[in-house]
Amino acid sequence: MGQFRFPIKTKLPPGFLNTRVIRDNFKRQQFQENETTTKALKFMARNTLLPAKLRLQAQLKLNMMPNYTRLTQVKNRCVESGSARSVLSDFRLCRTQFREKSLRGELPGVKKGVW
Amino acid sequence: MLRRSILGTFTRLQSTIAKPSALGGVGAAESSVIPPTVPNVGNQSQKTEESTIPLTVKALDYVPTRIPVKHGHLIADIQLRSYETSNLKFYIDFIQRAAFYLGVPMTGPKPLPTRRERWTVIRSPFAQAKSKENFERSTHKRLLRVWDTNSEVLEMLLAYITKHSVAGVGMKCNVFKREPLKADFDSVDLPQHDTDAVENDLVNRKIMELLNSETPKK
Amino acid sequence: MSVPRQRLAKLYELSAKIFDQNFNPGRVRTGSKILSQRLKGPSVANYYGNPDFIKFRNLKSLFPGTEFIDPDEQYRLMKVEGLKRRGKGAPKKMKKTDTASKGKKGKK
Repeated sequence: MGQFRFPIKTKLPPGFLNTRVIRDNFKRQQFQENETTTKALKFMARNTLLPAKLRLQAQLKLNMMPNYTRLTQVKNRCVESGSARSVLSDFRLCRTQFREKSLRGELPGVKKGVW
Repeated sequence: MLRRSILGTFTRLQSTIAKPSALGGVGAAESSVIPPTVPNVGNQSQKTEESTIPLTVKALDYVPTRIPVKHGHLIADIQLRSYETSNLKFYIDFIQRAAFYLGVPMTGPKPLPTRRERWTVIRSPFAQAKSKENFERSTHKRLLRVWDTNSEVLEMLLAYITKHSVAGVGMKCNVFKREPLKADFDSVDLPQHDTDAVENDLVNRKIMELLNSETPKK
Repeated sequence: MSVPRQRLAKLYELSAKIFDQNFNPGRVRTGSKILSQRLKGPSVANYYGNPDFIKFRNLKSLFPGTEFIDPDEQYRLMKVEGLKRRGKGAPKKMKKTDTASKGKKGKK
């Protein structure tokens, strides 16, 4: 990889790769990296016992953090196909991949449901 | 410490192996010691051949023997879970036998509520959303309870079980320990606030860092 | 039998102290909610799996001297060979001079 398009270099995930998967992975890594900072700032901003000026400063700093450090930007994607729609979080698979895999018997315990 | 515990359990194992012979009677005390691989001497009749099968091996044809609970001290809960009942059954059978030969009173298996997860997905990769397909997965759970057992023996049992664990069966073990209660409350120290853990917490450390960096600005 | 409020409050305070809990009778917003939440980072970041997981192309450098067969690559090569045999393979690369002339033609 010559040039990395994201501001901070991160390792590529194994398995299926896709621009969107790489982007999502980047956000996830960055979220983890900055989690303690965001939490600390949030705590300071929400704590009414602290002086108002400090709380405001903390809130402003929190707002200044880049978007990729927020959990709301993270989206669960299919590990096998990178699809973002209809992902079953139990398996991290989208519905088609889940169906194919379970029919092939690759997901332990999953059977055709009959009831 | 470790060596001693292994030795201790080993001797216990030997003594427990001899137990079934005492229970079974029928002059099996010697036959139980003879391993099945001992070659038969030429002109032996079938009767003696049958008797060379050790009682411990014969016991495999029957329901696992249990040691009755004497004192009712609950030592551990072993919870087993699996997607299939067949391997679960087999593993429980194995555990019960192991417990018997270790001299561990064990009750169960008590079936716990089966967890059934269901998913409905659209059959086709695109459109045709009216046609769906159902999938399900049921997790079967069993509970085995260990009573009146030394913690060393329990450790041995658990180690032995995990060593010979069956594929596709998960195990969770809750171990209970008893401590004498101190009735004298005046001399009991109140639990101290764990300042080390608080200081080592990442978020707390960050907060202090931020606070210290910003206060001079004001 | 009623217990005075103050005494109850004292009791709660003491019990909170013993069991290491927050005692907050005035319900002041201290932000302890945020502190008590667990860190989600590790589970979020591990969604796509371990990035250091060994890939096929790393195997050769890790175990020199042993040969590994990539079934997917084998299948691809087999297909390419089949196409070539039927005369449907990829066209051969042009020479440098040819490409230059072709480029000019294209521009016209």
